[in-house]
Amino acid sequence: MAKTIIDAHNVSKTFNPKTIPVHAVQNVHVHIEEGEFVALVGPSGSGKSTLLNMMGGLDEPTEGTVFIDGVEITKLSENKLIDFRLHNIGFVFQSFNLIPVLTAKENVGFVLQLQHLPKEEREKRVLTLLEEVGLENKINSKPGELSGGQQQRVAVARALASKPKIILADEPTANLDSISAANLLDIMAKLNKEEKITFLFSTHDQRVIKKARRVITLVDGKIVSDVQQTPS
Amino acid sequence: MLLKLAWLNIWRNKRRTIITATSVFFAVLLAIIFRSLTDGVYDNMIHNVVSYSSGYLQIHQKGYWEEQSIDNTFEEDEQLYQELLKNPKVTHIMPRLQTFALASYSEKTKGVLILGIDPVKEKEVNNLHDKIVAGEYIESINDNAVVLGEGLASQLKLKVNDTLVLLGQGYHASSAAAKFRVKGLIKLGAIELNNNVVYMPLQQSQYMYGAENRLTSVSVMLNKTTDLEGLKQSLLESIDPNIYEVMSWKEMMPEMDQFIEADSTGHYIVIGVLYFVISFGLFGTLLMMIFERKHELGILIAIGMKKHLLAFILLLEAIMISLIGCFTGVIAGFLVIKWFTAYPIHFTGELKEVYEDYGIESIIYFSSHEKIFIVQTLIVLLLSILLAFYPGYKVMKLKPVEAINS
Amino acid sequence: MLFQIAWRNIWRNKSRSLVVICSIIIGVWAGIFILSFAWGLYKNNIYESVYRQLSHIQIHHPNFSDDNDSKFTISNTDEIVKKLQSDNRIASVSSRVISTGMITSPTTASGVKIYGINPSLEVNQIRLNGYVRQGAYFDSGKENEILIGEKLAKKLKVKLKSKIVLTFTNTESEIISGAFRIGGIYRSKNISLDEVNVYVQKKHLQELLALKPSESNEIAILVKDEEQLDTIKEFIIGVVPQGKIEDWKALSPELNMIIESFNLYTYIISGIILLALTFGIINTMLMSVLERIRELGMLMAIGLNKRKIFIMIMLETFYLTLIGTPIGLLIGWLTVTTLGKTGINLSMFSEGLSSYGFNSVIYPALDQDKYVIIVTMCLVTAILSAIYPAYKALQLNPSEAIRKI
Repeated sequence: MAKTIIDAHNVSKTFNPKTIPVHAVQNVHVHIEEGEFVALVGPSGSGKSTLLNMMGGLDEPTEGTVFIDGVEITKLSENKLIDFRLHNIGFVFQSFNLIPVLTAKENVGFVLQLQHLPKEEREKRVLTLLEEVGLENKINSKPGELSGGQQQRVAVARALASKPKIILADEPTANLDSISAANLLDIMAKLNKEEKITFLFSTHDQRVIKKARRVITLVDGKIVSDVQQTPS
Repeated sequence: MLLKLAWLNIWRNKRRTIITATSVFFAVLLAIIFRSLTDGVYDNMIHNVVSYSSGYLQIHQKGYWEEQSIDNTFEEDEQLYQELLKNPKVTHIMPRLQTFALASYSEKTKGVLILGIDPVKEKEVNNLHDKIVAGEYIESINDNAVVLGEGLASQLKLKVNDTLVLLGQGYHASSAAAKFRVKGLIKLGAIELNNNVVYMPLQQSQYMYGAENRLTSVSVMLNKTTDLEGLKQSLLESIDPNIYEVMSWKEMMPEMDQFIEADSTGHYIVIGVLYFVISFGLFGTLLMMIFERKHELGILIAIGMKKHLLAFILLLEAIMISLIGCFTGVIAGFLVIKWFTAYPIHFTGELKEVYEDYGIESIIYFSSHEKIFIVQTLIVLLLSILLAFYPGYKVMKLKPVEAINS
Repeated sequence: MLFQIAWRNIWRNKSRSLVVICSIIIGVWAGIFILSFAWGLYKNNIYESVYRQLSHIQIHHPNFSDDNDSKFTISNTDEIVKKLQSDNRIASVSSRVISTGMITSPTTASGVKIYGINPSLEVNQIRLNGYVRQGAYFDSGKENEILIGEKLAKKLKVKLKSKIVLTFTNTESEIISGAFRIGGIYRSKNISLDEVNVYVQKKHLQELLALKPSESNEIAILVKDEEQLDTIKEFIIGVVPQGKIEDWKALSPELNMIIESFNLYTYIISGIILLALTFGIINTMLMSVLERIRELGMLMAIGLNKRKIFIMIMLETFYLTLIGTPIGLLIGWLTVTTLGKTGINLSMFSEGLSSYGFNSVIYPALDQDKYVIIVTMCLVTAILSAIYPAYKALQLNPSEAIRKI
């Protein structure tokens, strides 16, 4: 039996608790095991992003606890949390993923530098990572010079850079055409298989959902279904 | 309609509006404080200087100023006093008989300025009695004693209760000579005065000069912020111009006016620089606003909004924001100045001593003349409206496709 | 890397960075300009007082200034003057006899200070010859020639060649009257002194006062380099041990008041300008931060802690300041140097001034240490202004920032 990597227990999130409470996520339990490839789906406003952010330690739940790899991240101080994210979680967002002033290589290298990796090692790893996402010939391009799909691939490479146990991706394909989207998903799936990295991504794109091995559906802040499937 | 649109627009992004309005707010506030400070310093200086010397305005026998002789004096006239005090802006009047004489004590002789004064009226204006360093102040207009400038006394080597001999030219070429007991010594900030002045009760000096009931001048004190020239005109109308002349301190002390003029010209340059800095801050904010809204503006043009209409709306927005900033700025400026008027800043250290030596209050005085508020606000408003044309200009040059993709 | 990101960030939005850089340039320039202008204005006052009236150093008998009595003299002045003149740090020296008394015209009388001067020496000292408006500067060769101020002439209703009488006490305490003829009428820039100072031949006044030819009441000295004032004073004490030696600051406390007030107001004014600069920078940097909320959120998500974000924003401002300051400094320096040569004619701004005949050309000037102060002040202001926007960035909640994506 594989070990639990994310354990969200009875998690709730309420916005504006004092004025007009909006219950974005209500008493949700999620267990994700190491090496899973999970899609979090649901209509917009269903609380996908909020849940994802809470599981990545970006947002604090109003109620409940989140454990990542046995660490109760809901109890960590802000600075410890930043450090924890740096070493354990990779993020890919819908847009504004990359530091606009840095090249692809520098963007990926930046995370490694934050981890104080020596320069030579860093260079080597950055190249390997960019190769893995198929961008070995774009290493010196700035985000503005890359297409949306290429930018997202750099974001994946950067998310991988710190050798995280989990990569959280919030609507990573929302701004991409179908070919780029499929391409990105293929890379993610490959990394999931080869590197044993847990992927958790939110999406409402049917083609993306098909590639997932487990699909959790969220409606109005509650899980309505959680099924395993064979990716097509 | 456009007004409403502009009004709605500025509240759509409150943060941006507040930042821009804040720029205008501080511009108005700083300009008002600056002007109030520089004007206030002069007002205070003038007030202090004239209260010892000429008064804001002086009334003489016609022709006196041209020929300052005891023969050009006029008769004391209760009706004239009444007439002057009737004007609500006149706070005090000081009748004086001002002459020159030789003063001697034992072996020393010196040319001195004799000021025949009404001791009671004088001390109400300039607290002369507080400046006494030895002996006592003269009490009434017929007290048979004099008060000397401390510097003069030390030159004549004379002390309180010594007898001073005065010798001068009296009314209608009579000779004027008298002996007076020195009742007190007074320390005045203005060195010239300190070294030369003899204060004498008015009636005594009139008697000595054989000029009973005659005066060389009546000094008029006003509020600090009174319009000098205007009041001079209105006084001229209320008294007989064939008998009297009215002169302002500017005419009587051109060197002080000149000094202030020179200094305030310097301040014009300084405030010019301030406007420049302020304008730039405003301009920066407006520039940012345009960057931020490029996308939105591009869409508006793309869906068919006419460019000049959009430019006009932006101009309206900028004017509204400026008005908000100006309005709040004036209120804040008013409050700040009220505060400093109620709780003035006091000098400390060396400067305090120097000022007090000169008989000038050692405070930084802020002028609360309404003119300052109006003029400074208008200038900043004008500046910001001029600058507000820039966003409009930018819109006219906007290429919608580029803007949308930015 | 943080340094690199900050550096590249400032070039992403060139216009915005230019706005901040220009604000700083203007701030530095405005600071330099205003201080140099104020300094020029005040130097104008000092120059006038020192070079046309007081001189750098005056020597008197220790009792003279208390009593203003002509009997308190310095003896052997000719020798002393010669000795001082031979020192190459001293520009010029003159000796005077001074008495106070009354001047009487046919119509009226007034108190005056009578200076007995050596006309040829004073040409280099108070240069009164330059101020003569009517008549000439002691050219008749007659000993009873007198030079009076325009204002006094008006008051006394006298003209050139008019006869006036001076009355004063001599050193034996006898009252002396002397008839003089007006040889010249002058107008200096200090009108109030014009009313009281009259000038006659020193030799003649000495005779009237019953003084010996080698006795004087005052020795005035102009030095070449004001920096050396103190050492020259030491030297003079050696030459005239019996005299009271005072420099212009001690001689004129009024001047000191002007200087002190000027300094105070200048600092207040500079403060107001720096405040205006502060708001410009805060606004622009705040916009820059708020505009990049999402980007900052992403940076926090990928592992940049708040301290690093704060440093990054501060670095951006710091770089902008680093670019703006030298340019502002250069422009300021050029302005001061150029205007220091050509001068600013204030009468352009005020008609009143020229009609007074006031010296309305101001030559801005600034000491090196003042430049340093201004640059430091602007640097500090800019950095302080960045704290609020950077602090604002710290308050960002990454999830909130990201939610805005």
